[in-house]
Amino acid sequence: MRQPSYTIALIGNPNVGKSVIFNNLVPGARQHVGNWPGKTVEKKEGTFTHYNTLLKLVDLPGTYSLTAAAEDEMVSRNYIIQEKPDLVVDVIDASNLERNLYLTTLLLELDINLLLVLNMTDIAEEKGYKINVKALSEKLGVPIITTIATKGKGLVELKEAILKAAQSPTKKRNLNYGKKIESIIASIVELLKKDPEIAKNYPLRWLSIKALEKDEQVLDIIRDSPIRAELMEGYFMNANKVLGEDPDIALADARYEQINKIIEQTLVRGKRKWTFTDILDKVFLNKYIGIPAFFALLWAVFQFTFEASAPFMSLIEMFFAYLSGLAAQIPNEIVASLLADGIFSGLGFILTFTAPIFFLFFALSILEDSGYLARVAFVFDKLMFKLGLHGRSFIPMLLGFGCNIPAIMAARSVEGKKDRLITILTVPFMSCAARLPVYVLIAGAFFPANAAAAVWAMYIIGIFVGILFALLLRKTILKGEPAPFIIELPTYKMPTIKGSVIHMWERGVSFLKKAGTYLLVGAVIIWLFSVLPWGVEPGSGESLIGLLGQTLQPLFAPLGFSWQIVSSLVFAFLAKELVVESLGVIYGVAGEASIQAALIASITPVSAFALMVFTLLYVPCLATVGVIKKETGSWKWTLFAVVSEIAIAYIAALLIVTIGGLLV
Amino acid sequence: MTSTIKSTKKLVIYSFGIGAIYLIFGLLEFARGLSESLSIPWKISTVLVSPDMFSGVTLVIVGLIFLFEVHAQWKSGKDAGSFLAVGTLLAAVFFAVYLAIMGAHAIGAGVYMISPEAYAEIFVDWAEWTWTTDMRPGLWLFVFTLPGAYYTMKMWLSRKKKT
Repeated sequence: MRQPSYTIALIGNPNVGKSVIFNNLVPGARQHVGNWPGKTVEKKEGTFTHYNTLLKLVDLPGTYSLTAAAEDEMVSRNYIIQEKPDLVVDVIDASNLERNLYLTTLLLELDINLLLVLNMTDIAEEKGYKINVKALSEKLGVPIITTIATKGKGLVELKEAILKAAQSPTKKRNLNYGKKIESIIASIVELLKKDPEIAKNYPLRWLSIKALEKDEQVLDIIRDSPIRAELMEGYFMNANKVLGEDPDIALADARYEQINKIIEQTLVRGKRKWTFTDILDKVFLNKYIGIPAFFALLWAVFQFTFEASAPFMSLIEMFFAYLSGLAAQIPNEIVASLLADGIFSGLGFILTFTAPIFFLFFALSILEDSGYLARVAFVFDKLMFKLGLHGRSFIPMLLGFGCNIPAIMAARSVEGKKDRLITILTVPFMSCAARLPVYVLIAGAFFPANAAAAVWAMYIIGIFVGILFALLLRKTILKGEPAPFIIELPTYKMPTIKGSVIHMWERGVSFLKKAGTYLLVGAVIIWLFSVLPWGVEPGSGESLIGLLGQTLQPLFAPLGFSWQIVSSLVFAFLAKELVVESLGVIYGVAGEASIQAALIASITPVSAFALMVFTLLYVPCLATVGVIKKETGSWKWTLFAVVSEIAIAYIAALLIVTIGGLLV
Repeated sequence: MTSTIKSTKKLVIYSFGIGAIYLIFGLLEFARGLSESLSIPWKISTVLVSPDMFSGVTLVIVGLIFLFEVHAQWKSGKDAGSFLAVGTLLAAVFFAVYLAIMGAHAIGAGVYMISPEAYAEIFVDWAEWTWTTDMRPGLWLFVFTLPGAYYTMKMWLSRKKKT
């Protein structure tokens, strides 16, 4: 296989359009792009060819700085320092030059081959900005390309510039932090040169600056160096004295001073234009209207998901009923039973929920692409901060509506170990798409007149339980003050049908893949459990599935769950969709109406609601448990998550049954 | 100057009127939903007031946003048009959602009519569907927001031009 000639890293603040550029440059790339910050938490790689030269492009997570505070920032920083790409492309939001240039100054400190991309120049223009690109390039000593990535403008020029910059690297640095700071940096650089190991592996100017800032990772690097004592006692003490303040504060001030000077000389701010974003934000960020408007929109999402998808569910059901009918005619009884009762009744039934899942993803994509979801995090921040929680946690929580796994990974963007841990532990309470089939089935059976509202209620309950659980953690085992929440609010964009359909497909297809693999295997295992030992009536109390359910059922008797339901909940530990799949097999019936009828005969409406809440709150799936382990790096916290989720689910369901029993 | 005052007055009256209508029908929808869940039927057509508590609450929220426009105009006129624009936008979102549901249910009814007898049971939910089944205030009330949408667009374009 051909090796790439150059490696190019894409870096920039969150939500500046890096992933759009990545998708445009790399053929066939489908990086998820959304109009809100913090989507990319892991680096993504792809290749593209220009003038027969193969280039590897690495999309790094969005970052505001290169400190060691958040994990996603560490991913970007470590990649640049350790992997040493041939070129770093810094994507800048042209409409927010001052804040974006802070990262640029940090990159310039690294003495790397840098190319700047001024993206979103249309929005800058809308704001009345006129940027002298040539002057800016000269001031920074870095080549600059202007783009409007969402419209594909400037991307050809960008490819040209990338190839040119990769082929002829320049590391000219024009930043000067003033005499005092520069002389301290120069003296530390001279000292660091005495350690050949350090001098060989790290950019010394950057290392000096970071050491002055007491960056933990950098201090670790010089911990075993022979120059350490001299550095710590002589140079650092001296720096404090000379600068008259903490060096990290002096350095940040010096960077902003440089940025302001450059902006003064290169940017003309015209009169700001009145934008549609201004109009919408007056209301969506309003302290009285913001939260009710969110709940109303969320209700609209579920009304659309439940009601509009229903006929399409029936069409899929008709298709599998037809296949099941054909399978039943197979002369071999076992094969006929496996296909008709196991695969077409179980897996086929779960596949009918493809319709509401795709409808939900379509609606959420519209909200996401419009830029509204970032506002939701903002309006909830005030409430969450009052509760002692980190507002940033709300973004991973919202991501959890799609799938808990990427949502838990998105917690990497949350600063502070405790805040990150709280976020990881609360995300599983957010109702993912896998739980939707359970709600749709039960709500349709027991609350037909208010089915969409019942589904909507699950999502709201998930948010509130998540917040309450986070509060409990904050007040007990994870005490501390949350870090202030800073979020950049993107401009609103009109979502396109094409874009929303693509996003819907990207997310929905994972459900189809799951159905074709895990859920298919699950259907076969459940079927085996329902027919073994051979000769028993399939799905009866004598079958393995029956024995399993009956053994555990006494534990769930206070909730009013039958053994059939208990069995399905056990299988759902692997994947939540298996609740629905196994009910089809256990009851030995096919089709939504038949399973709903069997459920109505089996439990009361209050227990049915308790079952929905139990499904919502207990462990989402085995894969989520794996991700919690990976992200926390601790079996203790993983076990804590599993046990607490089961306990909370049980207590919540018991409360519903007890209170509901008194009311009904 | 006089024309500005006149247009502001018109805007306040319009916003108050549309806000009040949404609020009233929202409360009626909520009350009917609650009443029918307690098995107390109403004699009014469901086209006029559908029995849906949650849909009622959303209409109340939209109504309140329109009424906030009155408040904003009254207070300073600084944010004039924002609440009207977003109220109209939300009304349009609900209109679109209800319209999509109506369209989907029409498909269900159509398939019920043409599907073979063996599968008709699957589509039985739409056996008696007519367009009035899904008609609700959130659909027809939207018509009253159109003048607001026109005004908002005009206002936005003129502000954009000025700045």
